[in-house]
Amino acid sequence: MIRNYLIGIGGTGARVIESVLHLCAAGYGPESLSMFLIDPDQANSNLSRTKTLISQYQAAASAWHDKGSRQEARPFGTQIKTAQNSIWTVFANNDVTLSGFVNEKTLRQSNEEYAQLISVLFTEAELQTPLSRGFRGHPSIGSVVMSNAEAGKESSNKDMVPAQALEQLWQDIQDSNEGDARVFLVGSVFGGTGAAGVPTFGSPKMLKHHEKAKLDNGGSRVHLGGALVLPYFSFEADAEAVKKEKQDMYVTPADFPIATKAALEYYNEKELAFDELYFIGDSLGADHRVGKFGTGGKEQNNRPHYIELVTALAALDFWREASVRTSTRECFIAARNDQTVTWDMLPVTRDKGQLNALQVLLAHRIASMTTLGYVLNTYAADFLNRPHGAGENNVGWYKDHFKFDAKKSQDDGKDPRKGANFSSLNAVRSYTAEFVRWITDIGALPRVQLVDGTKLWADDEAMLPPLQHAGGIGGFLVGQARPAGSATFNEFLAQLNSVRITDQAMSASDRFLNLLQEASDAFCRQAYGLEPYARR
Amino acid sequence: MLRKAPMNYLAAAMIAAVLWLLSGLLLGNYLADNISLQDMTTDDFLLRYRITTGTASFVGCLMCCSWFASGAKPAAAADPVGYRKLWIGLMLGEVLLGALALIGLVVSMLPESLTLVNYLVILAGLVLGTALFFWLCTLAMSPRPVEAVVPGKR
Amino acid sequence: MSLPSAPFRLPQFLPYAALLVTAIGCASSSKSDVDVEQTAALVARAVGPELKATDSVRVDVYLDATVSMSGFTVDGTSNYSKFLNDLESSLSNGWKRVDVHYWKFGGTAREIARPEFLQARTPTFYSERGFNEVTSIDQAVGCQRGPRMGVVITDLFQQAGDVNAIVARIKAKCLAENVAVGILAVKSQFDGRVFDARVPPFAYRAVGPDTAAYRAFYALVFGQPNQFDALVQAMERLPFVSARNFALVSPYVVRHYDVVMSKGRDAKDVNLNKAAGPYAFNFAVRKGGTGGTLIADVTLTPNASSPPATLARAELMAFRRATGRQAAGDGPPSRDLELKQLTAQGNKAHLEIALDITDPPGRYEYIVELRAASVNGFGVPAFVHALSSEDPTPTRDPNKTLNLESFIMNLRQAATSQHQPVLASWLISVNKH
Repeated sequence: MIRNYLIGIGGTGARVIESVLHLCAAGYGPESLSMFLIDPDQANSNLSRTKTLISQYQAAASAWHDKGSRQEARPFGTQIKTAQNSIWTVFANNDVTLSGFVNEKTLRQSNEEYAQLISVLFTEAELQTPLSRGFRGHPSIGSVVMSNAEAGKESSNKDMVPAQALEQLWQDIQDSNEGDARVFLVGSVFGGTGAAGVPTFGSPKMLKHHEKAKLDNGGSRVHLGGALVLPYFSFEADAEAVKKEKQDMYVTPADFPIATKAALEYYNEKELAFDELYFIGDSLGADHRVGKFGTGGKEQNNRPHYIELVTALAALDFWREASVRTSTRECFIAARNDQTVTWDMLPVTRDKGQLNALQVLLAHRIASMTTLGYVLNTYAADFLNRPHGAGENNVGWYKDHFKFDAKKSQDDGKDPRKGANFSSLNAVRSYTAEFVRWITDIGALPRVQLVDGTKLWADDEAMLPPLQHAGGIGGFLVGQARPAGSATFNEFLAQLNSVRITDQAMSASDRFLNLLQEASDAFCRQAYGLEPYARR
Repeated sequence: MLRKAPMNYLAAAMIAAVLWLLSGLLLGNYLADNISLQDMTTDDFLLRYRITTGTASFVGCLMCCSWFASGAKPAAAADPVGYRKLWIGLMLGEVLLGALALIGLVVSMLPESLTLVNYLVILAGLVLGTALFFWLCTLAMSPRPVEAVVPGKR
Repeated sequence: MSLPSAPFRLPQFLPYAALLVTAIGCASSSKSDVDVEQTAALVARAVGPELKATDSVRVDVYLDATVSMSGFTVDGTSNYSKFLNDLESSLSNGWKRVDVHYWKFGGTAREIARPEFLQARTPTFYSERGFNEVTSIDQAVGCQRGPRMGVVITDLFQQAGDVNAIVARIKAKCLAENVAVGILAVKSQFDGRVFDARVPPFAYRAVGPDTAAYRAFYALVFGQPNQFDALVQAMERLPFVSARNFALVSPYVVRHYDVVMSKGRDAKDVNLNKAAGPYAFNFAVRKGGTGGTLIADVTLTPNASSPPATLARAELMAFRRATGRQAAGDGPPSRDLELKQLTAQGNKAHLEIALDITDPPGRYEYIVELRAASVNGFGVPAFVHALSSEDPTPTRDPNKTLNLESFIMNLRQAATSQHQPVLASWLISVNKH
């Protein structure tokens, strides 16, 4: 049985997992996917956000469980599996230092040579800095820690927490045939946690050729892939913040090139066990400021970046092509044509024959999910805020599909405004709001011409009301076939009115969502000229 | 299919014609058999009655077609309240049309001393071709953006 | 939010379809119009069949050769003499070809030549035995169809009993054949003895310029009704002959008539439908009803020479016929239509007719005839009244003709009994629901 695994290491790993989640929510992901994160910085806002997003995704997927007869590109179609704790925070407490982790004091007494080796390898700052906020851009620290990762409920090192997620991973690996456990690691080469974790877990004995994974024929149950994310962003330098952190270890954009060079040299020399390795970066990084300076914790809250989307596409390509085995080494390269980032330059696949089709599919899925999220959080939200019999609700799509007497309590189950229906709709609505935020933030970066968020957002908090800004819904996707604004919200309503759902057993919330989804799909095909697959 | 142009226009014209057959011919013949006229011949009465009901039906059909044209616009789905008002306005227009037609007939035939029952039958014929026709056609054949606006749509 | 606009786009075919539908509904007629032939047949009941006037005619002139006629000769200079002299030339003016035969009659009749006829201007003509004793006008009465006329010149009656005899003869030989009878009175100088009186014959002389004292002699004319106009016009060329002194006893007493029908104001169960023709009217009886009052306003244009019909005494006859049949072959008289009231003023009659159909719902057609009264249906022509006396004596009405009025009226009555004149005829169709 094929099992797909995604391990996001460090902040970048968490950001990429976000992108993967959103692509899965849009119906672009695999059938199932297990994932977990590795990051000692528990308070990292990026990490918290990703963790929350995973929960939101799972809640939305559970809430919207009947998508009718739709088979292809089902929203929230990927079953996201996580362990009870989706994050391995590595350390048991917040004041763990490298010195304490390696028991330097004890070593000085018991094995002076090891102690001196430690002093040579690490600076005093590196030994004494608390590691609760990650490895501060020092992968050397991280590699020492990560290599002690143990699965199971208890760890031999009192400073480490056992990785429950790893326990599940090993169980899945042991149940797999050769190459069926498709594990993909994501991390940056310029940070700390990711730069340490990816090569550590990529070493032969850690995963691919571990006792539990290797086979008698010399093969492995694990098909291992990884994405090394090269520097792709900058952040705002804040003199006050830098001055405050002066005594601490921290990474700045100036450190990125050096760290990247060192990492790439390491990967070149070291014989790691990756079957497929993706190197992803962008020279536009200096223009792409994703947030304010922070050494970690709550201060590290970076806006999404298109490279994270690209990395997520790399992961999807890995799982899609994992069954293709070649005996010879192959290299693939994808790059922008110019200084702009557009839909037709996103590297969605290594297969040239499928390139255009998958790019169209990707654009359509993202456009459709954006449309769905926009409508759910505006028009549909207003709709559901009104009582069933309100005059503004006298529209064909609603009256045809929601026939009940609001005064009768036995009909409450048919009302999308009440009970479990309302909760389900809220779960999907809140996730899709995050989706719209994510994709419009990506589109807000300079020279990224994917989505124009100004068509959808009035400000940071509120979306534009579609009835008063009818052209927004037909103009947010940049590079579309039709002139911007010619497809209006009225045309969306026309599509909505033409949808027919005949399954009477479907819950009210599912019916509501399926109506909007069908309409979003159809609208995006018409408005943006996107025909990703044969219509049902 | 009946909610899209040109089928709804054609169907409305057909229904208007059929309803006029009912009101103009059937009801007209009933009136001719039962009415008591003073100076006017029965043929003159029937001609006047049929022209009146035919004209009312024709104008009523035009109003119905204007509803179809307006309701087919994509923007209609975004404003159900406004289009409900429009529908009510058109319906009142149909009622007014029937009332004016009846008043015209009454005034022109005052010397004939028709009975109240006669006028009620005439009114029934006019209502058939105006208000009832409008309601039936909009209920069954309104364009999709505004089909739910029509009272009685379940 | 303001009310959305309702722009109107009219499919092109819609106005035409509506007009077509309205036209189909309105342009309908459930009743067939009465055609020209049927209308002519209806009218012919009153005004007579349209007979083509002939170019030629044979005229048999019978001259009364009794002694009472000799007084009219007055030395051959009287109007009577001039009448005899110019008779043939006058007749020639009425037709292209006139074939005149002369007869002398009294107690018997024989044909004479024209020269002998012209001898009638002298008294000797009236002294022939077998002719001069008694006037047997019945010898001269002979009505034949075709282009043939008979003219009897006489002073009329020697005895009172002659009226009935003559009338009976005329009725049998002429009126029964639908031949009309005309009486032309010509006033002439007279110097002789008057024999048609209840008193012994007396002498009477009126030869001066006072025409009021003149006595009248008469030309009884027998022929087809359409020939009399030509005859009278021909004779009017003579200065002492006037069409006002001409009375025509004919089966047809009207030249033209108009009928306008409506319904009575109290006829709730009846409705007037569109007329099918100038003499064809349609009514409808609504469900549950049997009928009501119908109003007919009839305007007559009588034949100028006919005795005036007494309109107030006119009678109404209705005959039901099967729908679509011709006027000939009517059914029996129907009581569905009965005359309630008739008001006459001059030549106009206002009729209130009661319609009562007790038969099941259906379509019923009636031919309605307004007829002159079967008894005393006509008045006396003015000239007849002026020339008639019941008892002429030497001192009273010496120049008047005994029982002329009685003769004319009996003749008219006999004609009526033979063929009751129709004053107006029209068709009523009733659709009972």
